[in-house]
Amino acid sequence: MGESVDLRRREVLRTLVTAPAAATLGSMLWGLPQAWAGTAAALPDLDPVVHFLRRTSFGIRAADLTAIRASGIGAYLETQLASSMVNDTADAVARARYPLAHLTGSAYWRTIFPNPVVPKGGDFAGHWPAIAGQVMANQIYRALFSKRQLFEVMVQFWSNHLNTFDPTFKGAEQQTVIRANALGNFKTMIGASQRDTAMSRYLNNGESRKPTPNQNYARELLELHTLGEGRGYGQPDVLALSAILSGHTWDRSRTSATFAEYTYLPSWHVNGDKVLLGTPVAGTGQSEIDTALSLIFSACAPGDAVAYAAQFVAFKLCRHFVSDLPGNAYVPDHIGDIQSGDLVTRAAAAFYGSGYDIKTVLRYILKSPEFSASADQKFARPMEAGVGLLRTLDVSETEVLPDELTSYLQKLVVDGLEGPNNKTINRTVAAIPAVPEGVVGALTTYVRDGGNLPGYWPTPDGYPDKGTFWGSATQFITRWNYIAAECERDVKQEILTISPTGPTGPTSSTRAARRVPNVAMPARQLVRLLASSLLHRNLSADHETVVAAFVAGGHAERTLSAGEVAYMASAAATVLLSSPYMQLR
Amino acid sequence: MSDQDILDHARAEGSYGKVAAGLAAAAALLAAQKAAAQLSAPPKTLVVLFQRFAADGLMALVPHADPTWNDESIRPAATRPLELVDSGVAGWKFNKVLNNSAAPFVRDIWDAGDAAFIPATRIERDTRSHFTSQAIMETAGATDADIGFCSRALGALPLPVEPILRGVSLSPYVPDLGRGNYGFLSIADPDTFSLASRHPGIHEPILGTYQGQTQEPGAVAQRTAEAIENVSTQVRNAGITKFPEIDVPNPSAAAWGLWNAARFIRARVGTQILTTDVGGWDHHANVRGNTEFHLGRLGRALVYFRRALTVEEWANTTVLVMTEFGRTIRANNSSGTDHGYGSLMWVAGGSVNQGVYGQWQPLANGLAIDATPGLNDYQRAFADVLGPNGLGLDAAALAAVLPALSSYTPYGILR
Repeated sequence: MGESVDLRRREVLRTLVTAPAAATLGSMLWGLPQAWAGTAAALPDLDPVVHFLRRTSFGIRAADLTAIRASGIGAYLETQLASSMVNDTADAVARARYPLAHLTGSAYWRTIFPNPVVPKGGDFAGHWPAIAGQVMANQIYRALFSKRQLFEVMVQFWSNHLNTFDPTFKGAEQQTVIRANALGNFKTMIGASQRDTAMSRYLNNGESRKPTPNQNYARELLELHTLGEGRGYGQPDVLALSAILSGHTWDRSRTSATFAEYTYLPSWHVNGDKVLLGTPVAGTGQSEIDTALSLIFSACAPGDAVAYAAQFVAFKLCRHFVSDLPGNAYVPDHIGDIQSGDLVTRAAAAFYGSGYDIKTVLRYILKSPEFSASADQKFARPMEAGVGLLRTLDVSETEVLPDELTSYLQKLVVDGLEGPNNKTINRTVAAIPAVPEGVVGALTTYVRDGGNLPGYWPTPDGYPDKGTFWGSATQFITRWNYIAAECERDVKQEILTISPTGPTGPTSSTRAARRVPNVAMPARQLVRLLASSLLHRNLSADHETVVAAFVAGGHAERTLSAGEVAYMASAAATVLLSSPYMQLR
Repeated sequence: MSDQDILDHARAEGSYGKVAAGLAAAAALLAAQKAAAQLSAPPKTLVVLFQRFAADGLMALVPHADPTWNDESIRPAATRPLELVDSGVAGWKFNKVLNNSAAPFVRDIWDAGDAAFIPATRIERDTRSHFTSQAIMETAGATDADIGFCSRALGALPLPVEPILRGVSLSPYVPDLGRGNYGFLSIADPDTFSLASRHPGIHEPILGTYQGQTQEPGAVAQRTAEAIENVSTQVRNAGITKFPEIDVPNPSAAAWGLWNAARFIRARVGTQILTTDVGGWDHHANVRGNTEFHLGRLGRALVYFRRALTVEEWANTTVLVMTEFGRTIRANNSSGTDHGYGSLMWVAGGSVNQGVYGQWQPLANGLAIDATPGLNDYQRAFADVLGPNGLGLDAAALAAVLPALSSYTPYGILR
């Protein structure tokens, strides 16, 4: 259909459909606020196994489904929680191909700052693009291919919870703060973060000294990392904690064996006794922070037996794993008044009772009835959607070369780096080239365009975890284009022979087409086959008709020739993967 | 139901000819309305530019004679502007970076009478949390409803002839300003807003699978598919030359956002409210160097924007610049400033009554909380730009959009 005809049709549609709907909008305003609340149209039921896998992984590979069906959800969860028990070839590949992402301590910082004396004009030219590329590639490669999927999901979660900006500085932190503790103990993780140089640089604590210490890290340690905004603390506590934290910095001596690692400078410290959260903290210098962290982890509302910090972290975990509105606790991006008996309260109690054991709280949330009832209530973020698409399509290691991943990411970061604290909202999208040819180029560019590269969120709150934030018009356009490009991609014969997922033939050239037999079949059958293999569920009757009618030129009941099947499989797959069946999760 | 479904259904019923004729007549009527709308005056447009992460207002509009400001023990010279220029208003001078020779904001917009400032603005709570404060401001205090005030305003405004692009956030994300189901769309880049599939019309079955999703983000998906044509034709071809500082290695978000805002305004696609975000203001260290860099860019971008519009378009456009809170009066030991309270709002446009509005007190009065005292309700400024002289809402509509605004007393910024 030509463009002019199409334009006219759209305007007609608008006259008939939009105008009455819009009139309703206007009249709705005066019925506030109920009129603002929409309802999600329910999709057909989802197999609990599929629901569980969608939430605890970066997307479902056919093999995962087979495995979890064989063992049951409970056993699968325990295996994933004991992540080191999962045999993982991706781990070996990542360690070999991304060595800079696995350095820690001084070795890491010396790689970034190799010069014994700071050269004129600064020495940031060294290896930083390679480091940034490898650090990001390490996360994406593992999300794509690791069998420790729940672990990788938690790495993403904690990387956001303790966000620092600029992947160049994140390498050591990823290992010593995040990966070391992702399924361990929350208090240990916060302690490691407090001594971490990436955090110390990012939130300015490394330059905080008497008499006017920098309040940046102290505030976010309370607001974003532990208690939640305004919960049990006020500005005097921010000031007291910034005094307690003054002098906690990093070693600036290039000749030191501990160059750039954590150190404490007594001469920078604000001496004297402090009062934090209503409790005196004796002026003991460096060890004040240990007392302070104990107070923070045990601070409770009057009459409450569960600490603020346990509630706040449980709230964020429930929001991540269950829905944007876990229980009744929701004020934008912040924990609100939590209700007795709701999931956040119960999970927080389990978390606090275990001494902040992360496995315990995860087990509690993932086994809760609220989790079971929450299918389709989350919206995939770009990283989840992009990696998830390739996992769903069973893209194998042969198509994602580890070094190519590094190269692309390195280039995107070099192109896009604007400096710390710059919110790059608009410009990240401004310089986008056409979708690159290869699988790796398309994935990395999509995740970049979506504004969701790992470790690339400029502010300390981490990438938001609510669908309303990500579900923008631009997001849908970039996502639909990416899905279409991948479904329509011509897949080379050698790849077909390495990883066959269905009968193939000479005309079955697109990635979508190789998932279905190359024979004539009714349009509805094509749609059902693809829905089963890609979505692992049935479409509603109406939605099946919509897709079948499109692939069959307007006649949903028609039988397609083998050639039509081969050609239109990518259309059906694109629609299915672009639909709420895939994008809501 | 899609348009094709309507025709298919009519065909099945045997009424195809009649329905098709009706559709054609409706289309003709729509075209006539559209033509008439394009001949009339351009619609009023509000552009909300959010300085994300707490800009230091004292570094822009400077209380240069305030003794506290000039106290070296409180605010060392290295943490104050390098140079100032006169504003003509007693007690206030501008940071000279706002008078760049190539694109001087002070000369071309302020001295031309087209800008106003409200220092010492306050939000409901002195939380000093970026995230909570932004949410409060964006929702105008109604954080439990979680609906942006721009979105609510859209719900109260009359529908333009073409409603699909009536509210646009120039962002890949959905800022809280545009949250809610009143028709905002987030469009980061009109030039890439189209579908490239080998299957023409594939957006229609995609749209079909989202039918019935009345909640975000499903509802947004439907409107996205509908908006593709207007964006890819009218907006993309609006003929506004790209601003300087965009196609450079380190581009300016302010220039980018305001360039695209100008394109939507010129395209006459019924856009009533645009939002754009400019970050980079959280200067816990080196407040002078960092702030002046971003402030200079913002000032120049506003001048590019003013130059890009016709006189008539400028007269019908209001730019509201805001940030979630101001910064501490005292500099810290990193030559930076930490989170404060009272902040600075700017209004620019062809219908602005130049001036510095609201109350002000000496900075000494804020030393106890180490922040500019918050004296002027930010929602009054919202009321000005949304009200009768702005987008045109009357008092009753304003009360619905800004429920916390007990009595509407506009500053009188717009005429």
